[in-house]
Amino acid sequence: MNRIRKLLLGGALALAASLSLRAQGAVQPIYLNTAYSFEERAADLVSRLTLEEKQSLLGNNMAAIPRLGVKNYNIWSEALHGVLTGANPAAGLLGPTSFPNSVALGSTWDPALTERMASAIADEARAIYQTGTKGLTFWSPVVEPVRDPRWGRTGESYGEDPFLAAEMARGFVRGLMGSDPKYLKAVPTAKHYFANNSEFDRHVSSSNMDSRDMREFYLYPYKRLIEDEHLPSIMSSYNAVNHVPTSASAFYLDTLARRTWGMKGYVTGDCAAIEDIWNGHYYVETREQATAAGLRAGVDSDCGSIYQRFAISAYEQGILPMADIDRALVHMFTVRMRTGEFDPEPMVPYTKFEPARVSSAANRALAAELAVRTAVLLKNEGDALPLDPGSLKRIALIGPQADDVELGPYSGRPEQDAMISPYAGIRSWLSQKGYDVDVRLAAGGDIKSKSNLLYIAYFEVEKTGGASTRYDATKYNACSEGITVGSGMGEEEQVRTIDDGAWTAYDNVDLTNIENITVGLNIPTEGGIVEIRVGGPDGNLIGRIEATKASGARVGGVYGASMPMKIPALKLGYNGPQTVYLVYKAPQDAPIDEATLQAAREADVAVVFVGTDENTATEEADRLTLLLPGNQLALIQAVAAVNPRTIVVMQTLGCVEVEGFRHLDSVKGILWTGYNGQAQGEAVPRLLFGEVSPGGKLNATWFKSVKDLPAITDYNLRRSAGAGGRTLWYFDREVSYPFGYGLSYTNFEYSNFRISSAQITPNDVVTVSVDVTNTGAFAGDEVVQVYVATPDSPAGLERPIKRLKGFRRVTIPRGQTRTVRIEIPCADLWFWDMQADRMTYDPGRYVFEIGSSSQDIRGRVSARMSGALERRLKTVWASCDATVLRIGESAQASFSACMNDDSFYEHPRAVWTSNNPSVAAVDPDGRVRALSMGVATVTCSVTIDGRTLEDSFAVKVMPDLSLAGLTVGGKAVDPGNSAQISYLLKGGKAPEVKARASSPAIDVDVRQAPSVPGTAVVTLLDNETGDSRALTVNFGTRGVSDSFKKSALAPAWSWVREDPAAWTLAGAEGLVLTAGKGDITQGSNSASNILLQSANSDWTADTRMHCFSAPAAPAQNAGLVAYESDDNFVKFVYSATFNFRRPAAGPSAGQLQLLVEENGRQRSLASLGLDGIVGEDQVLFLRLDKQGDSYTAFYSLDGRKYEQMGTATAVLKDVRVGVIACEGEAAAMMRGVARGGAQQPAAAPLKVSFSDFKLVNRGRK
Amino acid sequence: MIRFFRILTLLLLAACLTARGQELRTGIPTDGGGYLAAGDRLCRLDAEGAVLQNLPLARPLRALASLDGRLYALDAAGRQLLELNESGVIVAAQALGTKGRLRALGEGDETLWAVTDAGEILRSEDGRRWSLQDFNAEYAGYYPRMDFRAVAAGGGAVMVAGLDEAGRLAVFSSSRGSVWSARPLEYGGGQVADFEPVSLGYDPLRDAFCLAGGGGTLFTMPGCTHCNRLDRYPADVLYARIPNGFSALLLGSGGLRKTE
Repeated sequence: MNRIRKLLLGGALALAASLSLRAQGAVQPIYLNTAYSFEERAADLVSRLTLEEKQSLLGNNMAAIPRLGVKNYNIWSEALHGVLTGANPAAGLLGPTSFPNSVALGSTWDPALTERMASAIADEARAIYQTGTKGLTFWSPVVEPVRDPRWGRTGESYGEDPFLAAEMARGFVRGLMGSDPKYLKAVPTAKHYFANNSEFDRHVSSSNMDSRDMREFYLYPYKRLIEDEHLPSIMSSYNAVNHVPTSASAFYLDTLARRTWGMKGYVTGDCAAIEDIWNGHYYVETREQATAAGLRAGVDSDCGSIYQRFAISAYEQGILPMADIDRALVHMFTVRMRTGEFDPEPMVPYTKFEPARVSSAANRALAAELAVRTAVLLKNEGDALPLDPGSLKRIALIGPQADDVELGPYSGRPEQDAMISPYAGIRSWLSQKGYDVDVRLAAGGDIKSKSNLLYIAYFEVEKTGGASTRYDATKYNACSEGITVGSGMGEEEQVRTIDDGAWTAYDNVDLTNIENITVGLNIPTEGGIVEIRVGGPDGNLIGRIEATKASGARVGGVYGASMPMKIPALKLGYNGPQTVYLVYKAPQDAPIDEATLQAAREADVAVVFVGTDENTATEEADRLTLLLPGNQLALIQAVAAVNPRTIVVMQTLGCVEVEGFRHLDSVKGILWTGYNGQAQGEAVPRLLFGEVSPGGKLNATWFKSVKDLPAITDYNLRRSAGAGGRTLWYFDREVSYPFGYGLSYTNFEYSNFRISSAQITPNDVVTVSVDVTNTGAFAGDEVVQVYVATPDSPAGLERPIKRLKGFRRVTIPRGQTRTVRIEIPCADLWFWDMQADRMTYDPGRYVFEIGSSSQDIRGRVSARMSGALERRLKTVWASCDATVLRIGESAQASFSACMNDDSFYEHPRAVWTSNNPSVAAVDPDGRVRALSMGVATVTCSVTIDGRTLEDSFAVKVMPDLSLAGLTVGGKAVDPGNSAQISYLLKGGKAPEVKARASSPAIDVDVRQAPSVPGTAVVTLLDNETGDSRALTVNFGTRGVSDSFKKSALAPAWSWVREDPAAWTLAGAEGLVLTAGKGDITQGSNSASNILLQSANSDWTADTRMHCFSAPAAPAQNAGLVAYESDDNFVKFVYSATFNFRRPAAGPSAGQLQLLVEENGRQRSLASLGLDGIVGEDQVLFLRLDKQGDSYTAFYSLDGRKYEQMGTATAVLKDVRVGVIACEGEAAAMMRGVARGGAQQPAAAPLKVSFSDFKLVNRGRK
Repeated sequence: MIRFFRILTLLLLAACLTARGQELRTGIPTDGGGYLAAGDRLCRLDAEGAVLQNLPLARPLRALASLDGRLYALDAAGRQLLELNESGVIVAAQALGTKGRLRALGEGDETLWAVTDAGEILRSEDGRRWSLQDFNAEYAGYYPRMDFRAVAAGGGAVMVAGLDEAGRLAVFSSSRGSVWSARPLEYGGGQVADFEPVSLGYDPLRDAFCLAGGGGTLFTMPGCTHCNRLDRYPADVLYARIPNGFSALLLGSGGLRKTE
């Protein structure tokens, strides 16, 4: 039995054991009981988890929890155009099928075909899942519309237009999810939410836009998928939008995705997106804060390890409620349960997929069908295509893609025999069809990237004798346009986006006696040449480094760190400081070899296969140019010069500049296919030789030049200063090929344009119809496209030139006519009203342009829009501030009601109900009260204008951790809500404490106090979850007040780590402490001279404190302390404040802080900046009032009028109270972590005096 | 705290030890300097990297770790935890009651960790009192049975690495040391790391765990589980990567010593 099967069997046995509980008559846990809803079961499962288990489940590698039968699960899998994995012979799995990538799929304009593809992918995913090697949650598809073709992930998107992207993604999502009403076949995740449309700066940048572009363009596909297809997952992106990281934005994730569109499911952060909140955007100061920000915003899972390392400490710091952790886990487990993971196999319809499904004959055939349908015919002069194989004696297949299979990013590794190159496919097709054609192959060119040449971190000048000086390359004094600095996913800042001819300049580089030069660089793809010049980009050359893959230099990839490359310097006699230029050059293009040209010259037809690959652009690396990489343009031109019948076949990740060859007379035909999958070589001959007519259409505008584009960092769609608009919506200049463009071997005539109504309102559905006749000699596909323009809209509103609002791909035999009817819901014709913050509809004419591309409009119909959208309730969203409650606890539910114009109804009323009110009741205001153990679903029902919608959430009620009875010395005591009760006694033996739990499921342990003063501890323990609650009974004696103005301290005082040299009694000034190093914060338990006396009852302590100067160093502090130990205390102190972000802002008056530390974990309960409050005499009167487990802090400037600062809760035992002054230590979370190079100023030791210490004890007798 | 000692001195020392036919296999930076171990020698370095002592050892060591100023090691047989004084003299030896042989020792976040070839994970906050988790028993049926070879902690996480029952590399991580998640080992576009692990280290500047092992392999696992990286160095075995401020010392078989 192989390992995988053993693992599966083990997990299955554990689950089966749980499942068999019912048969044995034992109580079946709710999370395994299919009679409950998935959400109820998820809540039950989460309630059983310990805090450490919860933390271990908050990342993409969800841990196994054997005691609950939960197997380990990696949420991260990919399936953009096939399951991202390879063959696994041990599990009987072949390499998965690789279908065309998204840019190619988008060009099919066929959502149904995409759905078939995704369904096949889901089949393979299920078969792979059955072997235990992959999960069922896939981080696909990419639905971001392509705002700019330079975006490195253009090939992963369905295209430029949000409507097209949404429709194609709809097909994908449907196919992956399957059609079962209960179970998900697989789980799609739409990404990257949102406006992650440039790679080079995605970890640190903000995509800035107005709410119109945001809603109409960037968010449109998500809205459609969530509202229409019930999309179960999205991925939050790395970038910020309008300066708020998307992964930390409750507005983007909760308000929009959940409350506006109604997303039920989970949000995963992109890998390291949570870390970027802290370390990329500097949006928070600590990783705990990043954890809290992400979870509170609604990112349920962190692909990374921030949540899995810092959730507990964030919780313990009091900045992350348990409810946020629980909610995230309920979201995750609900979706896992929807895949059937926790259900008996016979109930789940997708559990019978055998390994043979992977790379099956059916899926290979589907890949071949898809490969044909992606093709877009861009040029066909003189009907040069299709080629007649019978008339050909010799055909030359030329170019770097001729015998290559380019699958594109996020592809699995299919079987070798499934990957067919054009050369292999053409030879095979000709042979099968019986044609005797001489097929010549010549690569003739290369595809080497000529941009993003290098990442440069530093350079080093070494002098004769060995001394050297290193210069940070990112600190240049000048640079050419387009240079950026970034670190991507790594730690090292580097000069990036280096294009051919780019340079960076450095002043004052001492070149005296220079011997060697070292440049620290990384080669992301092909590399380039670094010329070291003096005085200017064309100045004297003192060194040249060939940092290219071709020369054998190490390629680090786009995530690589720099490596040193050292060369001897040319000694040109420079002395002293000079301005040194690093000038970057692309490697020289290889010349077109004569053999290639000879093959082209001698052939009847030359077919040149060119394109891009993953080195041209990819994740983390955008394109800097739209030119074909390598020498491919020269290759096309050279071949065209020797063969008048040249056909160009392009496989690219999107738009490339074609002006350099598309007008050449000899280039008779141009066919573009995208990366059309493993069967691309099978498709090529069928297309070239006319077995099938190309029927795809471009999914993006093909611009004439990169110079036509605004800066890639400009996320505005509408024309901004000095730049044109973006996409077909706003770009109004001449293009090479417009959006939607594509020819056919046949011709289609459009006639009989109709619209169902000339008068429309936003509430109607209008049908646009047209008759399309195939008038040519071939059967063929046509994509009928409907664009909508609003010519009556005021010019000032800058409405789009046109928007795609409908399309249909139809196959029409030659000579036949098809009537194409396209229904358009008028509600979808909305614009975003930025003032009213809702959808709006411009009144007036709506022109429906019907055509074969966005510019080849064959006919127009129009209708007049009037009236308003009938506002109706669309989404009700209910949530609760706790998922897990204990008996007797309550939680507040809240809800929102969103209307169909995406605005929120301002004062909705809800009716709350519980499906299990004996477990959890809910009152009319949404207050949920936990009454008995079990689960309940609380439903919020909202009715607006006669329309009722509802939403619900699950609540798990746990056993009660309260006491049924407590006696102290034989007397019954009611502790109330406090976790501590205090007695004020005279000493002697402590009274006996007895306790009884409310629930038999709870264990009780009592540790008696040995004497007075002393503390008895009652512990209530839930063995299921490990949750515990402690109640302490403190027995104290009366303490003493001390003015500190006498010659000696009162006998009741004692010191912790006394340093006699650092304290003195100074008469009227009182007790003077000079702070020593250290603190009692977290692990830094070294503070000296803490003066304490026993105070193990309730009490009020007052003191006057005089600081000889304000605390200045970041951690200096002094004040009152209630102390159990160095790891358990409450401190009310005057401390310094330090502006880490703006150290130059200067000193401040400091702050008062109320801090609690329990078990070595500190949290701040309240702080008050004292700028403008504390007087120049630096005198403060501090008061700490203890009542049970509650410590309330007050301060005064005159000792008469006190202000309350805040209240802390802490269960301290054997409490002592007194004063402290210490130099402090920076919090552990700030140590060892460089943040922006902030320097801490030096400060004098803190010197303070205390006087008039007054202690008033209270307590039960 | 960044513990710094001169890497150049280390290299000279490494050269010296290697010349004696004893390969450097392990080392640790400590608050006051550092230690390197090779065969039956232990070298103590000051904070500047100067060699304070080149100490003979009573017996060879398997691993080194330091906690609260104390130096700990495992005996070569993997049966005892040893406490050494600053002169390399064994001042205490403790059998930890494990079923398997102790294979690795690590320190991080103020806790000592040890692992055994029988899948046991041990932890101690003081070097004296140890708690043991039987990983293989606890995760039977959920994770493969493990022969652990390496452990390290830092940055709020602890990581263990070893060979599973099929002899393949497997790595697990935990935040508090009780609940373990399988660490994905994919790197470089779908390849899966698989080599014999020798030692793990945590690099605080990179916030990454570095696993050294067979084939001169260094497998770097940062916080981002997507971002593993595999490098190979010219050695049959890479024994250790010892982070040291902005640099790191790599120790490998055949006398490999390299900074990065």
